[in-house]
Amino acid sequence: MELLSNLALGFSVALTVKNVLYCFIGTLIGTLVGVLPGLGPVATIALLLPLTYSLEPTTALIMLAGIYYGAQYGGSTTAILVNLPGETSSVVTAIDGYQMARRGRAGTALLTAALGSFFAGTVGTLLIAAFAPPLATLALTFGPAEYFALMVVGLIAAVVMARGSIVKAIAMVILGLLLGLVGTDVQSGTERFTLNIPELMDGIDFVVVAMGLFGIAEIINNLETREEEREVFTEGKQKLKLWHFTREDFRRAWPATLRGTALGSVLGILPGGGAVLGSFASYMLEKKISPDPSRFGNGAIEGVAGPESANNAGAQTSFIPMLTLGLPANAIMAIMVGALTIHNIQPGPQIMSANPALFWGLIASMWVGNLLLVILNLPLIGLWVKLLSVKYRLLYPAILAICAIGVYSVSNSAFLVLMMAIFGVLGYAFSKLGCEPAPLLLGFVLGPMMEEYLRRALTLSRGDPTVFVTRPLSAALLAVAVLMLAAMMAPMWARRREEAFQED
Amino acid sequence: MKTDRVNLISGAMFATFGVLALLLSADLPAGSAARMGPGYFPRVLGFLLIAFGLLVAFAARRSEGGEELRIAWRPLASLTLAIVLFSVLLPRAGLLLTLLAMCAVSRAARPEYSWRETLVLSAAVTVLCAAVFHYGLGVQMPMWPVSGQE
Repeated sequence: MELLSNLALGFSVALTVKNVLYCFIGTLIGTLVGVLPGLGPVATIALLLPLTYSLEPTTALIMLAGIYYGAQYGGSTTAILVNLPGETSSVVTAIDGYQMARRGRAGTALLTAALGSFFAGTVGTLLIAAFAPPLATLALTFGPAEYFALMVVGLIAAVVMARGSIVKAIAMVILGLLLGLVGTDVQSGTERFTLNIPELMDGIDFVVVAMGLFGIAEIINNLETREEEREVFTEGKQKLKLWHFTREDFRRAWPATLRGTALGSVLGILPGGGAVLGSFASYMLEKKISPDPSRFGNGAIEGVAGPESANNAGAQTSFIPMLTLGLPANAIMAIMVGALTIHNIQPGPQIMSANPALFWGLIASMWVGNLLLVILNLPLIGLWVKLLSVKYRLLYPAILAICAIGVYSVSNSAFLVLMMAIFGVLGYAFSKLGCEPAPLLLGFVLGPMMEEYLRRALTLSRGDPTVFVTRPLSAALLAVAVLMLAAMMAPMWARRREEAFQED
Repeated sequence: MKTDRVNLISGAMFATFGVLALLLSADLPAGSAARMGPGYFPRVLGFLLIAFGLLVAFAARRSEGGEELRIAWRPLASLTLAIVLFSVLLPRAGLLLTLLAMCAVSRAARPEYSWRETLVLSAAVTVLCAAVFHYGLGVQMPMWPVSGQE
């Protein structure tokens, strides 16, 4: 069977000593970052990107992917133990997980999260292996019009997923597209928006934007709020009973894990999805079908098992659109695209035939990484909890220094560091103004590609813009984008109408 | 009806960026849709950004109240200064001095400032970063003050 031979190739790549080692390092750093509040996975991956330049592309990607799902994992640990979601996808885990911890069942909650995640990760890996090839085959039939439409879908999805105002999110996408155009125009060789600064001729470096908007701005935001005392369930106060898992727990958690995995996998594939959507949807589903919904919010084990499985499955399957279509579904996948391009690999349908070892190796490594996480974390939970007591004021100067050195090392240029400062200030302004940076980052990554496909499509149609709606696949994709947007706007209009009626 | 300041400022910001894009791409040939010049796409985006900026600002007139805009000047200033310092100092003063200065300045972001803690912390960060990045990962950076140049 082809699937098996592909997976065999993948495991032969993923199980080399070097790749297992970097996978381990990646998951370890990821967990660390997930546990430590104040540095999200996006910033971390951006931060460590320059350090992977010297690695082989496969190894570099394996490590970066490890950071991604490792951070998901670490995020749930803190969500359960301190009611502090390390990142957005563990927000719902905190609801019931923390309540379980308060009732002395922290160990059970952590174990549920770990095993649920591992199961979901396994399923997610198999799904990528099964669905990526047919999707890539389909994508190979795409012309420029379809690609352009596809990118529109991706960007709209990012807009829909953003918190807050849709109009602002669209404006952020456009701003990102514009920033992506800085540099030399590929077709005419003309310099655009470079202000005659030689460093800008090749465009703004991706790492600078990501690090400034996500890293520096995040540090400033964190420093704004005072450090609070939190109720931490460490071993001192309360012994973690890790293997305390009753038959009743199992009976409740198992079906929730299955449902969460299914839901997360599907939502992860959708552009704009990723891990966040799945965990929220799974929590709502569990609560809805539960015979006793009042248990939720008071330590229901299903409320941990479902969302945790869903977010891990989603984290895994969100690689599908990135790898097969070259379309990043979220900010982290945008960084992955950046990482691939730095290694001169064009993400997209060709990647599977041009680079089978990289493609299948990465997928196999995800399963290896998930296994490593379970082995690594269960015994080390006590250590991770201790890390939480590190004061942020002792931590941030080091994070800042690493950011600066990381950006400097991209091309040994102090100018880039200066630009990071500018994007840091900009990022802080965005957060104050309620504008989310993730859509901007996606726009920034897709900008040059989008212009390229728009140009090609319109050249082929001799300037006729109807080409986007007369080709069936392109029209269907654009229809999806419009539907997504309409679905999002509908409640807003309804509210407006209500407001209007009230004023009458 | 109160005007939502946050949205008003956001809208103005987007519109300003849009105008900036139009001004900076004014010299670029636009070409036609069939044969797009380097100025075509930037101009389209510039107009779109202005439109959406105005939309955000306009929506602000309709919404009530809005959050208060509070800016944490202290961390903002000290972190920005620390990064700028890094970019200016590194090529001249070398990594060790630069990191010491950077840590000392960035520490000013927190009100609970103590000289002893800052000194120890700066030294620790400096040694750690030098060890990991210079010796461990081989990142090319001047370690000591660069003399005899300029």
